[in-house]
Amino acid sequence: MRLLGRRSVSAPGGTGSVAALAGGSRLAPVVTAALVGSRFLPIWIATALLIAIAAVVAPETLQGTSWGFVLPYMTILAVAALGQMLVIMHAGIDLSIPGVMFLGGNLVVGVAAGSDDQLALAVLACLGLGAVVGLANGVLVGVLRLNPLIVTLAVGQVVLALGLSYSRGIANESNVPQALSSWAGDKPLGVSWVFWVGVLLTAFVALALRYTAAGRRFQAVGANPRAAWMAGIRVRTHVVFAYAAAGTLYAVAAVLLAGVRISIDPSFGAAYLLAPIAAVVIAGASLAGGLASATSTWVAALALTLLTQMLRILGLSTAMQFVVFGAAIVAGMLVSGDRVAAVLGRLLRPPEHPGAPAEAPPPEHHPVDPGKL
Amino acid sequence: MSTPGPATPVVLSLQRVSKRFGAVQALRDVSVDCVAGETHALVGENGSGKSTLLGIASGFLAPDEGTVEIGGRPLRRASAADALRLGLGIAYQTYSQVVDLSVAENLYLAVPPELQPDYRHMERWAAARLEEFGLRIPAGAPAGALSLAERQLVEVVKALLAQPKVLLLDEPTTALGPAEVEQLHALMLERSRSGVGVVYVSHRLPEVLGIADRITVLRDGGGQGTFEAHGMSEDALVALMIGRPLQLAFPERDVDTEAAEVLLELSSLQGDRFGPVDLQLHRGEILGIAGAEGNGQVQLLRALAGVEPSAGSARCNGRELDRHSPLGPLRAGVVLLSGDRAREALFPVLSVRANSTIQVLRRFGRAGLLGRGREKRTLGQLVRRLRIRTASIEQPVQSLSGGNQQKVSLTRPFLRGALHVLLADEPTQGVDVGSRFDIYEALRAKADDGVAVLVKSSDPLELSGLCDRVIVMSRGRIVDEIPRAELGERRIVEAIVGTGVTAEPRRAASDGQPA
Repeated sequence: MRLLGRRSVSAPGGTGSVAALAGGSRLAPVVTAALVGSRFLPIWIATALLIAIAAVVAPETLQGTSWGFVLPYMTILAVAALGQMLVIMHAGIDLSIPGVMFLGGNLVVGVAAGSDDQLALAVLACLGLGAVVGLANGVLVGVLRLNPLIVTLAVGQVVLALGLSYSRGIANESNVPQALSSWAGDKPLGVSWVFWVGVLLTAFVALALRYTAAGRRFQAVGANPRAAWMAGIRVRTHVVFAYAAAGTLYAVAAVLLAGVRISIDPSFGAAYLLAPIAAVVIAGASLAGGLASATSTWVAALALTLLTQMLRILGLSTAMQFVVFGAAIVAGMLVSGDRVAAVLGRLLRPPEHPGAPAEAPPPEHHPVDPGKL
Repeated sequence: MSTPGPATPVVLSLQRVSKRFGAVQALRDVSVDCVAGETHALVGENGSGKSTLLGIASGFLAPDEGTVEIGGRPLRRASAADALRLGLGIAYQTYSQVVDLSVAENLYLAVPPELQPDYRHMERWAAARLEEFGLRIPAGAPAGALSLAERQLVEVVKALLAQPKVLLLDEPTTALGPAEVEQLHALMLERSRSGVGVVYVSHRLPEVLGIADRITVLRDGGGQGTFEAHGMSEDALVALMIGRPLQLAFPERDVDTEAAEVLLELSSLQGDRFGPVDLQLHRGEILGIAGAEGNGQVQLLRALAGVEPSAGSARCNGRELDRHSPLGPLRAGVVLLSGDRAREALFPVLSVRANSTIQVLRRFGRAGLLGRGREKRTLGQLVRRLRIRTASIEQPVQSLSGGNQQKVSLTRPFLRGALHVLLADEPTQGVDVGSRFDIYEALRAKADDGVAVLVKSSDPLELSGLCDRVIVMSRGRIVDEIPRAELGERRIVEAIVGTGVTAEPRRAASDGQPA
């Protein structure tokens, strides 16, 4: 890795450096790409390890019936985590997910009122709710500059309370329309529709961030809002959009969860406060903003869900499950993202201050010292 | 001054010090002695090992080989506290004051407990110390309200208050204008007369030659020898630093800009800490802004870029600039290269690619989709043209050197189609000698393309070599204009010193924000 630093070294004034770069190190771009991507690498390795461990200690985890449970739930987590990721990319955090999902799930049930004809309207109502709550978060954080941690928690609390009062009003209706639950149970290509929705959304976010001008700007605003403003980008619009898009994704997660669960109970969505944040962080996102990977976040959601499933199959008590789950998140954070990147950055950086002479000329020529003492 | 005799005690001695970081040999068998009462300069390019040497001397880094002695006693392990106890003082280039505390509180914290006054008398004590050092800075002002120059001077005072045997100064004049440099040097001279050894790290050779008794040159981690400053010349020093004579430090100026049309016209422009300013900038010229630090030069540039508020008129290409936000000037083809690259210009964690094309994404896009191949080809050419040393365009800019980071921000004006005015705030700050020329060349190339370039620099040598014309600012106004024929470092310095000396210290208390 150090090699890279040396590669980019040449004499100051360096016409030589270009030639050295172009001719001497055709591999350099590939190596750089690998290094740049490495903040996202640990989660892929960890997931592979987890699958290997599961295959030994709890092979049931990887059998057909188990996947039928794991894939829909990992998808719901992944979709919520994608939303959270958009927010974390702007160095924010969103704690309104349980609120949005609870009221959203209740809206699906309440608006449809058991009728398949009303399902489309119900789903739209749920998505609309997500967008509106996200918009509110976005305006409070991005325009009014309030602290995201507190504001989204407060907004989430309000939405949750609205959800509770709404759910009381629809108490005699507790199941989602037949069409939604059978759609969620339907398995094209052997896997639930829910799963394919998650794959599509993940691919869409990943591709949009990488291949569109808007995605590039979105990343730039997250990486350094001040520099983005100075570069003429509308920073506030991007932040508001991030929260609004995130809210919409939570609503999608709520619809999927409603489809899988069929009925809405009082704890609907409550599990999605910590888990999406955990997924984003152990997937390698930078909490300082700018850097995150949709595909890695999806893999992290898979890993967390698999872990839960494995612990359940191993017969751990619920309390123990939480202990292991929490420990796994902390461990994931320890080896992930910013830390890996920091170590790597140190290795990659041509040291200027307390460092080595990356900028210095190669030691080949030594002129005679005039008048050395 | 001659070589100090054997009777003079050595206050800092580094013997045969080596240090390796990974595969890179940062220091190779370097020895430096600083004796009491001397000013010993340490010069070398960025990355030549100066900072590593300072780090080892001050106990922040452990040498792989070699020994450190401070005041005749060995520093047995890498410990900044031990070094301090042995009598080493250091003033950092990155200011180490607590900005929310007052100057007095910062000074109080800097001295060892036995020298601290009664807390209640702290402010009076601090004022007396500042007075003693000839600084007219109010002791009660928050450190954050001082200009960078004033903070640098306070930094030195902080180090001196601990009564060190040897004082290390790391690029102390980066933020200083000539007047403050004088002040700093006077302070140093006084100390060295009282027997303190000063190790002075600077890239400004004229300053080094003016102040140092002896000079140690580092290149590529190796010592090039220690020389008597007397009889040393800039050319010889540069030759030692880079291993070849620096024949042409600045690109040639050949276009006659006097006749060219006016591209940017300021009338009665004023803003925070500058104005009213009337100025005409012609197509194809590089206009330099000189002045002691904190005289409104930066604010003028930033106001033109729409980053800071201003009143009055600024017309670009005949049309009034919309300066409410950076977007207006950008649309009108006015681009600022911020002096604060990491905070304001770049996206440190993102790639060279993302940083370069952020303002011109439309050029590479079709229906919102990016043509990454086209982007890569265009950028590849530019990377070669500006000689950006990066392994690939996917490398994060935070892993590039200062010079290459600056070149990355320079790619933006090169990628823009409609560019009329380029505003460069300290374009070569933190940039090594080799990259400097590339940056000068890039600015000149833009001027030759018909862009009007405005360069704010604290380095008179740079301004005299690069610019077609230089204006000198003091107290926010233009006080002198130096035409091409008269340009020279001495002329600029004289203009600054002649007008800037009285302006600087007085404003200290009322400054709302750091420069």
